[in-house]
Amino acid sequence: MPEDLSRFIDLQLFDALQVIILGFIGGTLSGFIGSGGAFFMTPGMMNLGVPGVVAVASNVAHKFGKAMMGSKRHSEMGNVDKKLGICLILTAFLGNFIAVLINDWLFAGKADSHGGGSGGAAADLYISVVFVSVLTLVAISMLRDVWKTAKDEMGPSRVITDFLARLRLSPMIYFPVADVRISLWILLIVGLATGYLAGTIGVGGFIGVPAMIYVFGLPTTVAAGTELFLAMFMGAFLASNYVYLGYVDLRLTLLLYVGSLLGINVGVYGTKVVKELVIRLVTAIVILLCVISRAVAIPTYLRQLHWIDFDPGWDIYFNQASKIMLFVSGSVGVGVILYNVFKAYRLRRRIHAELEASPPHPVANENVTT
Amino acid sequence: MQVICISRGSYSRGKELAERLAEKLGYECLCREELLEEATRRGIPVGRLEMAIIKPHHLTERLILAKEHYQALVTQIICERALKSNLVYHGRTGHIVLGAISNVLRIRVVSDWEYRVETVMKRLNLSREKAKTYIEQIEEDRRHWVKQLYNLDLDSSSLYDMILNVERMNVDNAAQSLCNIAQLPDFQETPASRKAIEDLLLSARARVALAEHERTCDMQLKVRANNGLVSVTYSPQQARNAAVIPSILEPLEGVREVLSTMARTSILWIQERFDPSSEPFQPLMDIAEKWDAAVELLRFIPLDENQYVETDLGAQNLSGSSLDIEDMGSPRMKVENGGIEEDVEDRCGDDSGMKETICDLAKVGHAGGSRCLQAPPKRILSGIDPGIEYSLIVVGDLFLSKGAHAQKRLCRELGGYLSDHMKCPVVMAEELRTQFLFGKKQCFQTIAYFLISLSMFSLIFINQIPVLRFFSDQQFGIRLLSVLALALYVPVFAYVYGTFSRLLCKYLKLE
Repeated sequence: MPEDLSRFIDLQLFDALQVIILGFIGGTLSGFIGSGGAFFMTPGMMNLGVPGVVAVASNVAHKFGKAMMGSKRHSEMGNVDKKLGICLILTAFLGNFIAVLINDWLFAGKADSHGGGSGGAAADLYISVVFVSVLTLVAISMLRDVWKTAKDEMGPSRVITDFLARLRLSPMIYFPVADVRISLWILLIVGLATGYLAGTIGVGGFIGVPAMIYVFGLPTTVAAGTELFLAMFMGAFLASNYVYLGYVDLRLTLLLYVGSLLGINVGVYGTKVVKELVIRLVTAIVILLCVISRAVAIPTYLRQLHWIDFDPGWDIYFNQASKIMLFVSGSVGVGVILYNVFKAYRLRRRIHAELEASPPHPVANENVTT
Repeated sequence: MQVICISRGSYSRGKELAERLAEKLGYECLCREELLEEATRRGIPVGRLEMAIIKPHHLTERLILAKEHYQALVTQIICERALKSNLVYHGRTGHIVLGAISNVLRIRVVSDWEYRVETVMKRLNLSREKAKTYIEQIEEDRRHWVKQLYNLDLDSSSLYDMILNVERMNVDNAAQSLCNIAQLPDFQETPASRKAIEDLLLSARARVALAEHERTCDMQLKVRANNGLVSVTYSPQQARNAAVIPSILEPLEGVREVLSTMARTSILWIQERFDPSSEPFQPLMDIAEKWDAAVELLRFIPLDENQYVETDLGAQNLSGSSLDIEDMGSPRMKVENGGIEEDVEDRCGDDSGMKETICDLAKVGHAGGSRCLQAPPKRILSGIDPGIEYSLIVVGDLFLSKGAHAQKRLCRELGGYLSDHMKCPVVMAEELRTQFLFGKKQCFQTIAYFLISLSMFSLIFINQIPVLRFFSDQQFGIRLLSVLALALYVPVFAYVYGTFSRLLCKYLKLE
């Protein structure tokens, strides 16, 4: 790669294939659990040597187009509360803007103009730390939820929703599609947090969707639809910001699409044949493994910043360990989905074969006249 | 059989009014608390269900089963009591449970806010602020309950025949006025309304029997009854236990035939006349096969709004009306209410192919029951069960008495109306093949979208360096251009490649 393009990686066929696989796994998980899949794709690209900011920026550009299509489909199903989405957009943009500024400052401001030196490592470390902190919380909450659901048969906790409802921080706004009343102040805070995380690590949905469910008390489908509506605007805004600053690698964006748009169909099909509890359990485990994978890469950045000292030859081991763990986590998740899809497909064929073999009369076989 | 359902708000004197009304009319009085008691006695975790429904939005599978059991039991008890004698019911959802029965009088009682607050303050010894919050919270919980159980808005005036404000009226006078209304011919029993309630009772009994049987208590089932024919749909995962369904339902009183169908989802097919050899039948079967869906038939006979209003005003004039339905042998008494109609086989001389179509659907395991509705187009929703989440609604040939162009336009308008009110795709029958199946046209489209995607992809990868230079250029003008280029290129590629991958998955039957 020429000197002036050093922030972008030299893409060989094998790297391109790896990005497509990342996209496919991310897309499958995304269709299966309803998130953007960035929690898998962003660290995956970083493991391939893509600088963190470029990985986030390329993924955000990829998410923008995908959210547009997803939001359209959810909208057709009546799952989008546009009023809520619009209320969240303003502060989400502010969060986006803050995130881009910090990333840019760490990458370019603290380093040379190409993101080399300690600047690239600082941005990578910052992104990795935010990623690990936020997603650890998300994964643990999800595992707790799964445990409680299996044990007590109750849905997600409403403690926060009820507490905020009791507070009644005026002005309260009514959202007809979701059928909830939410304080404007809470909306602004959630919008800001979602926007900041979407801009920093490309995973706004992991905060946006749970916040809408736990804090606002929205039904899951409306939360997912509204988040996609929000993600469409945030994605456009973020992508514009990042491309303006020159961080978007369009090649990575297109390669991600190649895998993810195929994977998303497989994932959505998987939700029809896997129990909800299993979906949540698989999601939590995959996220946790992604977090561990990213955490393993952190010592390398610390060394590059001269905060700790060890043999630079070890970097490759940390990177490989992180990479393997990420692919294992994704493969396990996708394996569970594909196994269930295949099993359901076989069951369907068997039942239909039995039906076809039965006498062709409505009151025969399954139908009984009394 | 006459039923009066009173939906009461908290502390709005609804209970008092219902009891006084029952006393004046000499009717039996049934309240929600009695239903809860019976449900608890039958082992339904009502308290936990109520907490789960009014608080979080997620229901576990077991609670969903408890919810279905509870709904069926409530329906069964109300219907049984209503068929035994005249009944005044007061509670939250009686008017919804019996909403499709034409002669049920549905009343909403509202009361002065100040009176309610003071009552709560006195009874619960609360301060004014706390009493207000308390009432608001209860009202909110009720709204959630109705929304979750029946997907309806409790406050919607369309759910009631009358909303009675007792702020300036004493309970005795309010009860007297309701006595007078109850005498109107509109609220008297008709053969059709009796049959509708009998069908409702039978389906509820069947659902309760299945919910209380050890082999089927874990199954999520949809049960319908029509003139003794009980249709049960179950998902493919539950196929193993489905064989016992007929043996459980056989002994139930009123069951003539049991039809059980494996289905993961439901498709609603709306037509005026059905014919298994017609054009939409085969594509619909293919889609049902792909989706493991049960196809439910709704025979919809559109009435003119003016005719409807006339009949609504005076049922006694119907014999002189020139409605088309008269020619079809449908009972006139049902016309004025637009509710779910009678059994087609028995009541209509011509069943318009429904029986034959259902038979053909049953042969391939996709029968999802049938019903008939005669109403103006804007009242079609009264014939669609809001509790069922359809994956698709297919609008077929309707408005047959109109000319071809008017027919097409009216069908489109009806489809649009349904799209606005139902949370699922609504398609015209002729669009089925193009939208959901993979034919020659789709094959051509797949190739075209693939080629466009490939070209867009190659364009970037053949010119990697210039593209990256363009996107990382420092000049202000180029930066703005790069933003514009990305905003255009990415969504277009996502759309083109997304369409290609969707078509490919459709071809692989992975939808």
